[in-house]
Amino acid sequence: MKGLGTPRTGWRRELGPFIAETRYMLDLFKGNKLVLSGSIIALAIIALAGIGPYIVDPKIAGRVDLANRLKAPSQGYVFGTDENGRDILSMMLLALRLDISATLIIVAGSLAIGLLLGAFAGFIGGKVDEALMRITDIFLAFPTLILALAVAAVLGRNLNNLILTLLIVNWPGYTRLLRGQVLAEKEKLYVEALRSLGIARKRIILRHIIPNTIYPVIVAATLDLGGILITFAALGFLGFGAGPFEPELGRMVAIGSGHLTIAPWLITFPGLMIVFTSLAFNLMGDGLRDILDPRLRR
Amino acid sequence: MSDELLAVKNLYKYFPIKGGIIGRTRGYVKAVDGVSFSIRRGETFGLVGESGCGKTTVGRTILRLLEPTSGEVYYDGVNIAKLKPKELRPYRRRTQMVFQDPYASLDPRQTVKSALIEPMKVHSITTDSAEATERAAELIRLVGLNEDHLYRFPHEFSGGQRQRIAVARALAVNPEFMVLDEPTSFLDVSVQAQILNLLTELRRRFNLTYLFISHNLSVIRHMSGRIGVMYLGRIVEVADKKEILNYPKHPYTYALVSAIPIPNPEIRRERIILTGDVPSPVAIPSGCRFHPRCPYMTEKCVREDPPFIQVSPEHLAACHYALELQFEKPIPTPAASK
Amino acid sequence: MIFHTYAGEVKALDGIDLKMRKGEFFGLVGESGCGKSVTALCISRLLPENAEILDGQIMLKGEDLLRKTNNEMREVRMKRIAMVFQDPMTFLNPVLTIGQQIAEVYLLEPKGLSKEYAEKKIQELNGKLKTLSEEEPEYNKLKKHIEGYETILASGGSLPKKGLKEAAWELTVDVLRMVRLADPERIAKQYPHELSGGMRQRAMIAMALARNPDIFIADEITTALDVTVQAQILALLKELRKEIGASILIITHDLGIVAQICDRVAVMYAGNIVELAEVKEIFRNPLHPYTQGLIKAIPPLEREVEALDSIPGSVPDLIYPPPGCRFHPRCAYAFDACKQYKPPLIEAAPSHFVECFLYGGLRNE
Repeated sequence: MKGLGTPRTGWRRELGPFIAETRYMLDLFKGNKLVLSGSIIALAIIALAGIGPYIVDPKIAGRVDLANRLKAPSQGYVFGTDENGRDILSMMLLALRLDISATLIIVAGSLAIGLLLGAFAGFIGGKVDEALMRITDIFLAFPTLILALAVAAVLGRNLNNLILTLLIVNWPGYTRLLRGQVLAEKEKLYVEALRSLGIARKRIILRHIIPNTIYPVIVAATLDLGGILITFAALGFLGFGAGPFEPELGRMVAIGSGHLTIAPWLITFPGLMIVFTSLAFNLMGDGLRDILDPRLRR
Repeated sequence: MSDELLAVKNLYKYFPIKGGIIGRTRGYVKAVDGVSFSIRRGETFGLVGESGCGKTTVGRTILRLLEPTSGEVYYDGVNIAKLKPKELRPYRRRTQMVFQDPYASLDPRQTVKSALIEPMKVHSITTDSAEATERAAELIRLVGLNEDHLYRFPHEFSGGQRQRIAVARALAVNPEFMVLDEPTSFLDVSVQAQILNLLTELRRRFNLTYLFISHNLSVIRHMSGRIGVMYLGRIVEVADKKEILNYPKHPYTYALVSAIPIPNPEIRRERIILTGDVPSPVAIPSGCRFHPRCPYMTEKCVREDPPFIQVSPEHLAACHYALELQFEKPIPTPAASK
Repeated sequence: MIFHTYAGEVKALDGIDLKMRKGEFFGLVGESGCGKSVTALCISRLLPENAEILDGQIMLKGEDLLRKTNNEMREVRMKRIAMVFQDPMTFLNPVLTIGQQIAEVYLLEPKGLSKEYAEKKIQELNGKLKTLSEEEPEYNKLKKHIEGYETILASGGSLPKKGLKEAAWELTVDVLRMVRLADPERIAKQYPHELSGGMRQRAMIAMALARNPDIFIADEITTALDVTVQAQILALLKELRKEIGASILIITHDLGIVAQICDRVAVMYAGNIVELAEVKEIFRNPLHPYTQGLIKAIPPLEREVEALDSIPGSVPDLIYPPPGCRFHPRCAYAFDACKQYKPPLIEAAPSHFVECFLYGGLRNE
């Protein structure tokens, strides 16, 4: 049916159908130009964040060079310098690494917790499920800002605590999502068929239910990246987390607002970076949703 | 090694209806309300009835996909209704089920090969991966598809093909007994014929025993030896197929047989048209559950629940007047065809 | 006609020729995907957006429906074509009572409603009149009523608003009674979910017949019903035959139904009508290999067979249909011409049409 027929031997045969599926997905992906460009940019940014410290010397963050402070974009300082004389472009690259890795940790972490707890609750059902739902209710009620204040007050103001705060706020959403997915999937006929074959519950969850429910969750996670980035930067802007020598986009925007009239480049470039990155993530999430959604309509 | 492979005794399956804020049980859907029958090795027992009669629930309950509310299910002498999940495992290999909806009974993310091999692995039928693949290829060929199909996903196949895959999967563990729950209801007539032929062939080849569940009496007649007619959670009549179709003794059976449109315009018969609709298993009528729609009902029928009356050695009917009622042959034999 | 889809063009109907006579029960039978439902949707022009009718005419009493504007079609659908589908639950509005929904059909066209009601009342009251003598005071009152209705009839006007509602209600109850629903007044006040499947389907039929359509299209109306309920509905249709003048197009995949209530039947396969004949003739003497296969594939109720004759292969993909006769890949008798040319519809026996080269139609082109 698809491709040029089935190869006779070994691993290519086994993987064949999956390769065909992936190819099909990529084809769909290429359809929407906007989404495609957004996704490429998003991935480029992540890559950039990864290699940041290798292009730019991290020690720049700690240097103070008052002679060069608040210089406008010019030779050698493409985006200008900040209040401590540091090259803004370099700072941005370093900050990018921090912000993006924080975002990824938060989303991945929430996803992992959600997977464990949500799938567990969904499959076991009954009182365990009820109890877990009530716990997520409690956590969902936490207002982000207040919690950040509380954590900062109790545990101290640093980046790790900020990540912790956002993890606490974010995990219930995934748990509920996954639980809902698992509950719905559990009712499907093929699950009953698998039970009638004598396959153990654990295997059914791990090898059948989760792979089938993972797609909407991945879409949700990707779409979440943009939002979490903004939230993280916003909290950074408010002063939680980063210290004066830690490069963080939100903080850079905050400091920039103080010098808005004299040196607008301080706020502009980091701010734009936040916006574009978030936008790129959103587009990527949209793209994923579009290619995964009609496929699910099998 | 007794002749009787499956014996179901007094099977009940009630589904509680919960209502209100506290979730009190307000009532029960009495899907299976006292069913007993037995199936001999090698035979095909047909279970027929309309919607709400409980036949699908019976199929699921005897395989313990649903937990029986009460009753016994003896498989090869052992009451599997009482076994713990671990003890049930080996019986999962000996009994299998083919489901009604071929579009939903296969995991959409699993290749056909994986679907066939998984039960083999789980029941330790083969440990060698090459051997398993070989066996999967054998199975797929057995059901009329070819080896290439092993490397595809279910959505690439038509309904009839998916049902074949489901049958292959069931056969993967070498079962003795299969419950076929409306396996052709979603399929076109021509595809249905293919699948029914396949099932007959497989039964002969592997000496299988079938419980064939359907609402389609023509199909049941073709596939089964003995037939049980269900109404509202109970079997109301059970007999050999020729008996049931030509000499039904229960008024419901008679109405059912006469209601089927025969694809032969020469035979336009006067049919008994039952009045009213199939009642719901939530509110089961008193006495004989069929009495509100029965043209022959008497006061006794409202009061007393009829027991099985033995009309002849293999023919039982749950009607107070089973021995007295005489029905015209519901299916006239056409003079032309013989 | 074709459907435009992402995967390609689905050539759903490949030249359908069909004529229905007044008052006849015409069966359209075929398996899934053969195009029978699509044909029905073409007649009432209720096709989805991605459908395109490439060519052809649909003549209803001499008027080509394909040439009508949307507004004209709405009129046609309102008064002249009635359709009932398989699942009444999705077809009926769950928040309105049955009575409200049927009355709505009447109220759509106040003039027609008034006319019908007036006629009915005149008959009724005249009947009453006969039982009275001229002296009684009732007599004159009645006469005045009758005259009132006669004026309405004559002038072609409609009843006053309040009168319309009552008229609609009365006619609704009448039509519900016509479909043999016991206690129609009570049923009219119930909601769809309060009725059983069989009753809902009767209500649907009532709604369809309310306006005395020319054509009544019944698309798999008993497929979702239990066999005993199906028997009731089929018996109902047979009974109503004399009462309604409409021609009924019965679309089904069940040859049993066709054998029981149809006068003539057309067998469809992959967008073509492959055989068309009177019912008795087609079962006695099926000509097209597909028809033969279809009949043999049904497990017979009245006798024993070893194996069922099935038709090998499966229904073709209509995006890339087979060339020539669309059935040829599955046909035991296919020869070269079948693979290249589409057989024309020929009259192989009196009033018995087939699209198959086995019975002629080959010309030296």
